Amino acid sequence: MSTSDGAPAPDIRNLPSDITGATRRPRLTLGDLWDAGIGLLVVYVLIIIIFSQLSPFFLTKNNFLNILVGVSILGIVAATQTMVIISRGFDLSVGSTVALAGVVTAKMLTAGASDWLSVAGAIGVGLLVGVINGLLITVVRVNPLITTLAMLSIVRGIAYVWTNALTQVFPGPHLRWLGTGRVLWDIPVAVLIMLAVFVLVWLTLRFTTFGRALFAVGGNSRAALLAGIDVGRVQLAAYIISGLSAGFAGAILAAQLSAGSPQAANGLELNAVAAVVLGGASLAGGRGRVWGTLLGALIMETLRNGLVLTDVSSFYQMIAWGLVLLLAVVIDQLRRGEGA
Amino acid sequence: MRIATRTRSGLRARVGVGLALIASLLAGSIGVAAQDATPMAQGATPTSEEALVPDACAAEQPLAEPITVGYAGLSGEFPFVQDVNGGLQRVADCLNVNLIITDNEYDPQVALTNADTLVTRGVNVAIEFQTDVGVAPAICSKFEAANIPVIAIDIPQEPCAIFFGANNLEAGKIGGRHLGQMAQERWGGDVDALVLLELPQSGPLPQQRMDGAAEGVKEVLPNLTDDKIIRVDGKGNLEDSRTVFQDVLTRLSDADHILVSAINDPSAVGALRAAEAANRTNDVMIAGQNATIEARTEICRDTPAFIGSVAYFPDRYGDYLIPLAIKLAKGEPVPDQVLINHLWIDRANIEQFYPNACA
Repeated sequence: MSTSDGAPAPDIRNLPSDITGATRRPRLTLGDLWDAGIGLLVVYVLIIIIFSQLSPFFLTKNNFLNILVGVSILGIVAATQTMVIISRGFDLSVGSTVALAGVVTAKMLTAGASDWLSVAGAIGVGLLVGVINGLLITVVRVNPLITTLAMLSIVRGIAYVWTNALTQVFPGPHLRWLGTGRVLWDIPVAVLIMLAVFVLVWLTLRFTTFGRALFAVGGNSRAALLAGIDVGRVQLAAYIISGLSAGFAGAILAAQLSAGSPQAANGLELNAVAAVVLGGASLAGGRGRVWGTLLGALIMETLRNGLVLTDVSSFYQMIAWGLVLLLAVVIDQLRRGEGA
Repeated sequence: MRIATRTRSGLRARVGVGLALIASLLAGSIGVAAQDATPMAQGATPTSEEALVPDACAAEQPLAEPITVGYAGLSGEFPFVQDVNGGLQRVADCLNVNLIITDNEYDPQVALTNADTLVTRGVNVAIEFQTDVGVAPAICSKFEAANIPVIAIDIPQEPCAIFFGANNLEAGKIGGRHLGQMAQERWGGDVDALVLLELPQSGPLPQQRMDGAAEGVKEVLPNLTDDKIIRVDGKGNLEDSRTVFQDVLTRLSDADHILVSAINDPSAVGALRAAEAANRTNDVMIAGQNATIEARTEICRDTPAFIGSVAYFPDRYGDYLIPLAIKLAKGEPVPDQVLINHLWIDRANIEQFYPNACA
């Protein structure tokens, strides 16, 4: 790797902490704990304690498996959205991609394709959307928000046109292993896949050059460029990964529903961004924790589940969800103000 | 079909109007036969000729001079609306009616703009299918100023429009009665819970469907107490209904006789998927609404847990609406409201009303 003037690029593993975003402080503060996700964990534990007091059904193995299944699609998409947001991007097309990928899965299965081939088809759709997003943003230089917003509309539109807005039902036995299958201590396959995605993203962010480059690009893209990082390629890769995971999530959702619905995953993109922000990422880029994202997604789903179990109207659920999101962000802002 | 005479209170009391009175007053007035749905709900299966509105293309003469009907559909995203659109176009074509179709895109602001467009294009009659009753007066004022009569589909557009559409309460009751009957048959009437998968944000009219479902079950199982009725928001779609019903099944972990009535078919199928995932299909019986493709597929699969769905036949709406619009354009007397027939569809009669559905 070399810089534009031909000089050898510095090893990214040796980049200064202000570029990689990996800051160190001499003593542990409350802010550090919050940064490490402890604050969010405390919030989550509080939510669990409260609901376990309010509903006898809440603190059961089955219910926690329900929560994990409920969060699986959001989690898979949010995990890779974390990478995009760390690189100072946005991917608002993920919900539509999930829907189109689900439709592709259903159409292929109905046409006689094997389970694996139909899942590959769904992932291929995600790959295509990710590549288009990435190229438009990095080569044509269209704003990420506008690009992915436009793709949100285009991809959803394709799903509608292709299906005439009809849900594509496929025969039950197909993909049952993926949608409702359980392995290892009765854990649903979709949950294991979600956890695997989180581990992969964590390993990538923590231990790879690409992961550190994402932080560098998001924290200060000019500095990253000067440090020899191919900013465009890093961002392109982030969008491709996001697209791939959305495609895969679409296949899993279709497997869960035994159908591909063009209306599916409506609003998933905003929930994914909310989970990432709740998890401690900065929309300005350069900062984010994938385990924080998992906690953010879990908080959202646990809150919904708990409110359903306690018979709270869905209208109040919306208010509660918004309040938790605001609370987390406000605490984060206050913490930052303190630290400044 | 059930029709009420045009009275000031008619629109507000669109549910529960005496069937015999309605039928005797208006049968044939817009070229369709009146039909009481009750016997069907109690198990008697009518023939398709008895149950469905006659094909307007066969029953009516084409106009010598064409008229123009403007139609603003709810949203082309919904298969139900596409069926309505297709049926309207089919009948308009054969009766020499120019049909202008616009799409309200599920957005009241777009609905207002579309109303302006239809007025500008000088339609003889407007058909409005938009969800926000709050903007209905504004839409009405535009059509009234242009002296254009209005027909509202499924959602009332007061104060100007004739109401046409679903009899939500009755549709709910039909589904509820069938659930009750099946519970009687399979479980000896022993029911642990009745779960209503609602869509509260859709407003009070569709909500009547859910109230009707509870009433229908109670008609058959009068011992079912209110504390056994669980109302949850399934958001009217597959994935959210699946998730929320999964939670409900956790709540009802000891129950093995659970009835489910859903606001629509995607919601009903979502509940079925949750029951399948939890291996509890033997514990539930589910009834849908609309008899859309999702439900018809499950009915054909003959899954014991999915007992059937209440049909609305949106593709036949045109057979009611276009003749009604022609009458309005001619200035002839018309009913205050026209309610469609609803039919219970299950494995026994699906092929009769949806030929080759299970092929």
